[in-house]
Amino acid sequence: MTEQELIIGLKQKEEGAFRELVTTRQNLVFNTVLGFLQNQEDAEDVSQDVFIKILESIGQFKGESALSTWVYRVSVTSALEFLRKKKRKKRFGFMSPLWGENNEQTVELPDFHHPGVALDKRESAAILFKAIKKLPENQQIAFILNKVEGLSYQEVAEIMNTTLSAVESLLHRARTNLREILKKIYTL
Amino acid sequence: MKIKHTPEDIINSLEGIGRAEPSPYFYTRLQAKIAKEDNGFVISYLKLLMKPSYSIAVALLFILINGYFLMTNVVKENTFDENTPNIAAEYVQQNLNPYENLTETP
Repeated sequence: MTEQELIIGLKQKEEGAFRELVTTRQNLVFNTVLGFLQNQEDAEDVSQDVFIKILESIGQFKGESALSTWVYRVSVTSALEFLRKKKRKKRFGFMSPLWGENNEQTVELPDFHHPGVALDKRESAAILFKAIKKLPENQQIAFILNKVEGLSYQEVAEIMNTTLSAVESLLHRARTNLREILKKIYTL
Repeated sequence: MKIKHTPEDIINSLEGIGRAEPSPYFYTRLQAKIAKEDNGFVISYLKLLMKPSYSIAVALLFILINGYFLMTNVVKENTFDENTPNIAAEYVQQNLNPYENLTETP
């Protein structure tokens, strides 16, 4: 199925087209979302939401960019939305007992180990993932898309709807900030 | 805390990273979620209303609306309308003698 046929199929709500979209892009979506959320269960949940959103809003897709670029955009937006919601919940967590929310305990999550990282690099990658969380949002996006998803600067620029030089600058600043964060956290 | 890695080591630790994959039967679970969301709209709406915060808010809104209408009606009832005496006078004049026609001799 060509990309054009896939888009037409999705717009006509064909099950076959949706299945094709999911099976060919589920790793792309999951890996991107996981880079931001650093939690497998949350990443699966948000990945499912990404495909539901795509199905619901495919009518708005004008074909000005590649379908994958659009899928990346939806994935990044959904992951960031999830993180913002989680932050808000944490901020107003003291109110939850009043309103009978789930009695979930806010506990510090253990280090995140990305399943794609080689065993000898697991420890340092876990430290890096912790530091990535402290980066400003757009630096985080550029860094994750480039380093975790392995996209080129050009592809990152298309997804972020910005220029190549802006992405270069974002990645440069991200590296500088990461160095600073790592120096602060650990005595090296 | 002493560790053996340099910042550069840590920053470069994602080199050659493989893609993470969701657990098997992702599509089946996704289909189940879509079906659940389709059926669960009314239930989730009801669940929302069952939350104390929402039910209290709805009750307060109900009381406020009722209070507003009650207050406006009371104010209307107590308002003296300038035209009222004229209308009353006119009414009295018109119906001064309801048996007037009966007194006339045929």
